[in-house]
Amino acid sequence: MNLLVPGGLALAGLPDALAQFRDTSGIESFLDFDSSNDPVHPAFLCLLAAQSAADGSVHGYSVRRPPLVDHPVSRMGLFEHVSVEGLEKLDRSDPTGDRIPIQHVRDSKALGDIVTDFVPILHASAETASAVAYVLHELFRNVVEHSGSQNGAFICVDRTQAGIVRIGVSDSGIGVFQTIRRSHPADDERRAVALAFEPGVSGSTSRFGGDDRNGGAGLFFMKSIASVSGQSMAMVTGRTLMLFSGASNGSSGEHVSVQPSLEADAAVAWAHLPVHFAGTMVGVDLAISDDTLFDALFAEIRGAYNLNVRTEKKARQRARFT
Amino acid sequence: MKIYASTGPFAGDKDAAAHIRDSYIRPELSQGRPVLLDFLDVGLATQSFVHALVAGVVREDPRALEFIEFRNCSSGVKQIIEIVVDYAQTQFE
Repeated sequence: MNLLVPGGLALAGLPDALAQFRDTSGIESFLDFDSSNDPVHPAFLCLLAAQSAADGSVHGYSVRRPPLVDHPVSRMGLFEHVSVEGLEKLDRSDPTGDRIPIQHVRDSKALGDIVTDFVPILHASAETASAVAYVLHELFRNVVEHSGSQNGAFICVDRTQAGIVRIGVSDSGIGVFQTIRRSHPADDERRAVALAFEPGVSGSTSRFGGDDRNGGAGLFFMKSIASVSGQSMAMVTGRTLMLFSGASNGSSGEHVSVQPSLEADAAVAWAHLPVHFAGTMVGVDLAISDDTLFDALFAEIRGAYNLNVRTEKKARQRARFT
Repeated sequence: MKIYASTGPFAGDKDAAAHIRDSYIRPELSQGRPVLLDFLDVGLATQSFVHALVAGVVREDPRALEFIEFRNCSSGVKQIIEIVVDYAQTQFE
């Protein structure tokens, strides 16, 4: 593939950034950088790392337009996972208050260690830190249980100067289309992605509502978290990009209704990509201020979840709390 | 059962949840004994964790909730449990 890594890339810029990919199998590939020294969204970096892993051996790139000295992608550990000839590898980047460099995670224990050791370092509110841990756990579980990935997952987190925490998780497994169609009718990738976000739909069972291990609500919950915090979420799988722009749901402070269906959500845009991406990449942006209680998000989620299911009207047992 | 001992401050490991369910919750309920799930010092749990922990049990027989006590839950954990308990009892056509 030949591509330009655009400095300052945010989730909203993914359609243009991914549109430039070209399949150059068997031909020398170039990874170039523009003149910007601004951070690149972690999701894009994880995508590159996962695609390199998908190639089996280290996918080597050449560079014609190298990055500026001490480019943020270096500090995020990109060149530890993507071989670029002509670029000197830097020492492994350590997590700091504004980043968790690309981590190659292969099991739950390793993820737990990252969440325990690194998330608290981020300069984020307690609520946002909790949300980061929540998202990382849920996304990694999706990789473990649904992706069929032989390489685990690549995760990466950064924090912008505006205080937005940006998360990227990517694998090089079978992709959402193959996962969903094992249990649900999906004619194409877009339909499969829409189903994956629908609460009650799990790739592990055809039963609506999930099974013992999976409720089919993880992605919906994460989109809801992004939505209520006025931020964005994106998924790339196969040749499909789904981009949810939470900010378009309303300005900060307004009550936001969580839309359970991607197809019915005006804040969702779709793009068909020029090349096939193995596996799945998810990017989530979070910004939960101290006065926005994390548990209030779940109250909203609960309301939206109940709107999506067809249910008998009968009294339910309640959980007992002491 | 102190959840923290299996998960630490963040309950996100579904394997741990499944283990608690199969080694503690189900055996106790099958004997008609009460189940105590103590979430002391657990700041947050994922929906996936709570689902793996109790959704199957509740779905099989919602009356099991009469024997399950959720103790020392933070407001966030409580919300998640209520969501999972609610949808586990939802009858899907």
